[in-house]
Amino acid sequence: MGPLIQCRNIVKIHRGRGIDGAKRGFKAVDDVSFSIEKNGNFGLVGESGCGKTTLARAILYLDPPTSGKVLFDGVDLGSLRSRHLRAFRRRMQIVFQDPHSSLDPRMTIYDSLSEGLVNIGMDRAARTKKINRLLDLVGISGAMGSRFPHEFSTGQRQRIVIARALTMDPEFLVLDEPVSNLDVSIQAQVINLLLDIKEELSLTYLFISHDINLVAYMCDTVAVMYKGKIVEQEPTEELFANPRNEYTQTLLASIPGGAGRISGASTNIAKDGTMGNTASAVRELSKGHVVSNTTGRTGDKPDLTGGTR
Amino acid sequence: MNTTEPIITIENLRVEFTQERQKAFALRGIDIAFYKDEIHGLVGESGSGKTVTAMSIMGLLPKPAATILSGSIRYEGKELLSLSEDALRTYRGSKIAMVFQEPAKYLNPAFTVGEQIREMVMLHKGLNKHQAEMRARELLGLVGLGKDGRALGAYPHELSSGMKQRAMIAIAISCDPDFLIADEPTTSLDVTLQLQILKLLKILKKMKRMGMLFISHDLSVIREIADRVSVIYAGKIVESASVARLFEHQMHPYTRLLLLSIPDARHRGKKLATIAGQVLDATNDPQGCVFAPRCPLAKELCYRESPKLIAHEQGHTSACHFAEEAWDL
Amino acid sequence: MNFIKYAAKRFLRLILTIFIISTIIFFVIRVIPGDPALVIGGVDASPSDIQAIRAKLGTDRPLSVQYVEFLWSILRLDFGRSMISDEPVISLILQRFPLTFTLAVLGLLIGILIAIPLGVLSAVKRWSGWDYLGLVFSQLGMAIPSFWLGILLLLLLAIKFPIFPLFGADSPAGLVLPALSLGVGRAAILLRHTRASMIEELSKEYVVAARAKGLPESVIRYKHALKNALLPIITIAGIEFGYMLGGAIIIEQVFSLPGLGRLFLYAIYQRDFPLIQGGVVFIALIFSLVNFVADMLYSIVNPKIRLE
Repeated sequence: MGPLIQCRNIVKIHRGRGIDGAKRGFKAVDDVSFSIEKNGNFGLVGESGCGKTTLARAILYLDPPTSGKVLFDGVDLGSLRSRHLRAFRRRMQIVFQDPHSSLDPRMTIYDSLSEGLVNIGMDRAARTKKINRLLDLVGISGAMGSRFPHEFSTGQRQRIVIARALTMDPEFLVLDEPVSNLDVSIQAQVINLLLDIKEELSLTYLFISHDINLVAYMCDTVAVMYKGKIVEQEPTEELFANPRNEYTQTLLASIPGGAGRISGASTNIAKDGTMGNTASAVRELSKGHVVSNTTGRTGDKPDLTGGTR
Repeated sequence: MNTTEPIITIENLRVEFTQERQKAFALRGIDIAFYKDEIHGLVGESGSGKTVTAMSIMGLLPKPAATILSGSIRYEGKELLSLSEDALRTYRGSKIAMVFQEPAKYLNPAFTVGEQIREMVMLHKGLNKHQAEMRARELLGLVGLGKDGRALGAYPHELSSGMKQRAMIAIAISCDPDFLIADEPTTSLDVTLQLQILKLLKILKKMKRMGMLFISHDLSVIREIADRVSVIYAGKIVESASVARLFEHQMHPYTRLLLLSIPDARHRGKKLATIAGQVLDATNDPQGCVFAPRCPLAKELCYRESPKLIAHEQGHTSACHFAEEAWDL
Repeated sequence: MNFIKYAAKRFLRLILTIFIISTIIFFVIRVIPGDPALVIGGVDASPSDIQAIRAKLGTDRPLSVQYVEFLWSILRLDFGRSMISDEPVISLILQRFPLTFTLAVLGLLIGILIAIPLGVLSAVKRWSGWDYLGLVFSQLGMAIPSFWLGILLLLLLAIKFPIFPLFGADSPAGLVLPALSLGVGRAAILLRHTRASMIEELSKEYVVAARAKGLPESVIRYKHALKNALLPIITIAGIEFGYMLGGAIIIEQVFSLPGLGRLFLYAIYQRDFPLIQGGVVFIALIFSLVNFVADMLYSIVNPKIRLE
């Protein structure tokens, strides 16, 4: 099986100014290339503002990339006219983090799901059959189709959003932090559901998350994104066993509940007790890798120059 | 395991919310004791009563929506629930302080970080302006915002999110409280920042020998920072033990399922455990165990009789009729 | 650094606003049907008289020439000479302006003194006696026209109980009643904004945090919440001040005060076109300038705006 998605040197520059009024031509995605095999489950992990959502939107041509190519099943999406692009868009869908804002509160679940099907001219009987089947697939009774979004819990709503993404029989799903708003027990239900339907419908996933644990559990390949670039990309086991990039190491070391890093650091401080050391010891980047205040590479630098421009 | 007297003891605390004539049970009778120099993690899902517990201790439950039905909260033996608002205020901030989840919202946008520290130490510690300034400078150094005092003149929006949380921690510890409540202090932060803040809190606890209530929905964060952990579900503490013990051995099915539902690279390919059904509706007041409707082990007894929080070996408490049995989920 | 950039940007916008307003005024007066010369000359005027008036007004020249000259005259604040008194329009205006300006300032001051304390009190003690007082006040204040209130005040406080003079601005006391009638109506609007703004701030998270710090409720309200609540009020007060300049025109009539209002009113009676045009432009200039000042003030008080 060949790759379903191929990204070649994707660059996305945000035009206009950022929030601080100064950033013009900010490179949100900087020369990113990767490919996703058919039936693959590709994880993209990174912290807020690293460009992962921008990249996803560029791949789907919701916000076309500034430069670079996206090949879907061998076809360059950038070369397509809008009518053909629309046909391709049906084959790729996206599920966002917040199920509250992605469902129209004034539309019944049935109407929300049938929108796309009406557009392609499917008749009512076929629509109903299909919607019932999809709702059943995500564990919502078809009889609940006449209800409105507010009558469902957050977890149920996210299931409905997933069902809606499936109405057009896509091959490729982008899952942008699909469980981040959910409680742990509900999160597990949705994750299981996503893995089940992937199997059942032979889907290809691009799974985006800030949670490296979750990505590692879900995906067979993981790409780590930092400041617009993919800094490391490996099969999951390999990445965890042998992270090569410094940022990946930091990220892995930051997973809470890990091998007692905090206790190690704090005993050093407790003995010493002076304030200067408190501040610098906090900047331990990874196990045994302590960096002083000024050279800390992680986002939270103590100097104020960055903030007060 | 802890032989000293607790700083704060909560007993049989029951809190009810009234909204649009509907009654909701936020806390259904909880018991917790907090000790000096111990981080007590409180873990639970949204709506389980974590924040209500914190706000009850602070005496800041929203009025008139919330009513305390029964129970007691004692600080060093003194009953807080019977104190007047004025008397309570002398505890808030000075003896018991709080750090909130979203520093961007909980810091006042119109005042500098320095002013937000100064006003507090001038009020509780009776410092003059100059002394307060020195104190603020010292505190900012302590939380890693630089010793040169540059952050003093910064407005909250001029700080990054991690720096804002450090500033909020500086404010909270400014009067050397005996007890610090941290309500999801790292939930809005990226993982790398989260770790830094967790470390900072742990260091400060040691330095100041504070007791701490650390609230989180995330068991792995609790495991990282806490000494002892209590699990709360639908307004009830269902299990409590030392962190080492709890992650080793669970005595309540809810805790076990919660742990099994956390995704982890080691379990790839295996299904995650799920908890069937929905969280108990807060307007419900069941006769039996609050978890029974979702519990795979529930028996007739569980629906009939509410289990009490009973102490087992090694200070491990559980509110399950079948805590001692070896069950497999 | 950023403030200067912001101020400069805002100043450019001010210039643009003035330019647009001037253009509108120019075309409204020239392009709408009706030759001013005919109106001024009256029915008995001979064609040569009309021509003379046109020459004097400058309306005999091409529109484009008139337009450029008009803009140039605004830059120099030279609005020509009055048709009636033959004095420069600008000096007529500047003679009368201080009185009107003082009246508006006093009106705003009275408005703020009533609105902010009552608005804050209404918000803090919602649904209490104070809140109902504020509610009744703001309803009445908006419903009662200022000139009627002026007459009422005159009847009561100048005739029945002659505490204040009946007319004239010879003594400061003469300004009290006009300023009061001007301020009360505007206070009603300011009060509603203050109440809403304060209620919003009191529901914010930082108020909870301030309580958790153990601060007394008075400090939380009158320091923490009030500072944030007053920020939007500054902008609204600026706009209100502009309205008061306009409202002064009517009030001056009621109290027989020799301010701008009376000047313009007579100009309209006497069809003194240069004076009318100059007056309108002048009021528009002041209005834009006041809003500019309010924005500057807002950005100085609010640390956040400098980034936006």
